[in-house]
Amino acid sequence: MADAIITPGAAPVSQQERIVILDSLRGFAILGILLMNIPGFGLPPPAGWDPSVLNEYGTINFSVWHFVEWFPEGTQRALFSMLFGAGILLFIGGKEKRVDGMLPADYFFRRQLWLMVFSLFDVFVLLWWGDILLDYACLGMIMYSFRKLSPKALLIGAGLCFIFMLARENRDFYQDKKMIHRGEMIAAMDTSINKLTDIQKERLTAMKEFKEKNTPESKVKRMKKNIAKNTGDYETLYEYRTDNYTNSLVRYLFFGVWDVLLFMFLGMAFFKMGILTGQASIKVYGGMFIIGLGIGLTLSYIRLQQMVDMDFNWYEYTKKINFVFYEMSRTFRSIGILGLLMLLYKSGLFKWLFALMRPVGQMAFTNYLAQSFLCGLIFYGVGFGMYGKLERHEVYYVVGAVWLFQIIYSNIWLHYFRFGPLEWAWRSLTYWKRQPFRKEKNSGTLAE
Amino acid sequence: MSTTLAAPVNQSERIILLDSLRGIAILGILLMNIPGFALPDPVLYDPSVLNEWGTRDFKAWYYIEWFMEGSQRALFSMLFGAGIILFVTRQEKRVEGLWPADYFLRRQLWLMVFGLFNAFILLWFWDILFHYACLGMIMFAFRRLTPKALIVGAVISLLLMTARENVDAFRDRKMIYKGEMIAKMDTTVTKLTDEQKADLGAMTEMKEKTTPEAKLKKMEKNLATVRGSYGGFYEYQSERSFRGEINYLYYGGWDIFVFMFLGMAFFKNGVLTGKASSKVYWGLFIGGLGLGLVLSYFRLQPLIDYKFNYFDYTKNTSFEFYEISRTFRALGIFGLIMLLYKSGWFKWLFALMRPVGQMAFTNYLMQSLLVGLFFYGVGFGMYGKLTRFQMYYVVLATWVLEITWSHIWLRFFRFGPLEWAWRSLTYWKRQPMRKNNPTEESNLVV
Repeated sequence: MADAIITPGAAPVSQQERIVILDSLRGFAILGILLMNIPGFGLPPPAGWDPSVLNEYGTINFSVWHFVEWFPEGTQRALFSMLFGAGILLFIGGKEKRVDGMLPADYFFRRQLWLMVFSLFDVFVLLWWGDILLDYACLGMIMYSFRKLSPKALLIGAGLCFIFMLARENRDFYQDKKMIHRGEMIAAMDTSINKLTDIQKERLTAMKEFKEKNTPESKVKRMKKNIAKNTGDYETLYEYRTDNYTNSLVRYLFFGVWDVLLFMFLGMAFFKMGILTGQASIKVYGGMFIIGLGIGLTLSYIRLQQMVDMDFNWYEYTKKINFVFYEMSRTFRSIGILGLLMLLYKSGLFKWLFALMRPVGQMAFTNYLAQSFLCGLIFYGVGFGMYGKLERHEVYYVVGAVWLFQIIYSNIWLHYFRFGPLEWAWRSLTYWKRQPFRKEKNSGTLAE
Repeated sequence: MSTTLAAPVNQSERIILLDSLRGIAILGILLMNIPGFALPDPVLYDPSVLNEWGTRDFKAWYYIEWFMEGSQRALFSMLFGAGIILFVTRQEKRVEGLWPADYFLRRQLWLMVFGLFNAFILLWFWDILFHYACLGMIMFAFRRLTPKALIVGAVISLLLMTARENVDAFRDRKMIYKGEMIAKMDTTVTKLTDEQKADLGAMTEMKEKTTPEAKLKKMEKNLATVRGSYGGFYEYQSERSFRGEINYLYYGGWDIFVFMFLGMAFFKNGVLTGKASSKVYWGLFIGGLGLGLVLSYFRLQPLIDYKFNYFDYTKNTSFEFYEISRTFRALGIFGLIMLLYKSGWFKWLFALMRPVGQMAFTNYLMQSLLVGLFFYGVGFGMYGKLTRFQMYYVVLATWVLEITWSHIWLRFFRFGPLEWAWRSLTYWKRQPMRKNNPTEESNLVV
């Protein structure tokens, strides 16, 4: 598996032991995730996820939006969660052999707590409101308890999470539907005969507010406001983006717990079954690829078509659609994409690509935070202020540039150093001991 | 205390004082929780709505808020912190490798399930079990720190909580300030921008919300919903629970950490287990209550001066120190309880509280169930029918009931029913329930 680039002869034990394919997969995921995150950095909401605001229909921008939403959306986050789940097994598994007593658990929890600190840095200093590290830090602690389950039990866990997530989605959706229905019933009442009660008035307002928010004019208004806030001074930017985070954190951590846990369970199961490490047969991967993408892309297409048909008016969408299946579409697509990646790997034709991605994945943590930093610098007012100035297809040039940059520096950096800079800091903090950094010095303080 | 002789090993091992303290905290906590069960929003924290001025209702409110508020929750958090160390150390003696951590985490995860049960089935929106489950996992990592380092942890948490309070208050003040500046502008000359309109709207909304009429309206709506059909009640109450679980976890995390850190520190240096000298407890008592009650007085006075108008209060108060006041009061009350213990005159009281504390988990959930049944429309529907003073009779009745059944139950059984369930789930093995039942003995996890 080892490639010439990686200089396995000179590498210390800890590196040889690493499961090479997992690093490469992590590299794919960490670059891939930027495809979905970039609108959050560079495009003003609601235009970021709603191509109707700037009337992008029929342009290349629309095609770009459609492709990203239809195909990779949610899958890289899923891949990353799977790798995180597998990482828990690797981290503890490696330690259990070498140290006694409770230390492995202690190291694991310290690692999670430092991750939590880093995530707060990502949110409150780098101002990335789409941060996912906090979710991993918190939910990783929960997943610890499940690490000894059999693959079958883990798959059941994933299945339960999937059902919960689907229920969660649809319950929220039905609450909105109910709100609309109630409001419209009241609006249809003849108020010249009976006066509305306070509760009726409230329900009417809730419905009207929702409707109002979805008019093209109000969307454009919100977008303009958001542009002003993101290109303004640091204080405004800070307030806006951290508020945004707190809202999405509460939403994502509570409503989306299952979304993350689902793939952490799958990651643990697939790791134990050898699927994540390339040990399964081509048939398995072929099956995942065909069924996953076959069903996933169909579902995804139907989902997007409904939105397009309603002209991205969530009011109409909520009123008319009866079942939402985002998580279903995402799960199938993610499994399909994992199958595809593993087929590429197994074919042997893409060794160069996996070798190229490996250092990117080894420095995944550094690279993730570097994305927050670089994209912030490019887009926010405190940096070059390109926020809202690029079209949708143009922000993907930025993605391309960041990818190129990260691939190059990751490959160079790991030529000289054992770990990415933040990986090094994270390790040193976890073991509370300065870890060796440069590759040449084989000092004995390396904790593993 | 006579039962200790007949009890199996695991019971004599328990640190008896901690059980008694837990008993006091679990009963005490109902003093602060009862308004949430019995009184409509916003009456539950605002005696101006029903014009309670000058009555014994107001006095009850004032006394609780000034003296007790937050202190029992603090005691409970301290005991939870100490409990983490106790649990893990005991497991480390019993099982090898990573098993102690595994049992600990399973225990926390089941607690999370019980917490969600309390919030979304029993519909108790100030549930605290969920928070203990989540934050306890974090505290696990700190269990081996020295008492000094733990106290530093507590101080940092206190500072962060105070910062959090003040940042939030500052934001509200800024909002008011902006809005009022805009309100003063001559709109015949310059038209307001959209942003200015939004700022003005936010200010007016806050002002509007805190008028007596708006509060009454809110109260009536709350009353109607809680007394009404189960469907409407559930929807409303579970939304409150949801906000309670999430907001308190995020905004109030430090509030819990302060005392979990302190509990661990005090457990390690013997303050929590009564091993410190009387001087230490006198110091805690006098220093804590001296400072805490003064601070608490100055915190409540502006609220009263502004007649609970939170708009005026926010506008004119420049520093928030709720958490500081609470921390000192809680330390003072803790010192007081320990002095009572050390004096030896209250042995009967501590003996009385011990079974209550051994069944703390059962008793806590029972409060949600019984008090809930008494007040909500799905039960006896006494919600909003008792005055603030009268509802403390319910507290008293609940106390008597819980003390009685705890004593009776633990005469026959090893654990409270929910403690038994929790243990059995944690070890994934049915635990023996009855006392002196040798056939089940082999399953007992000591």
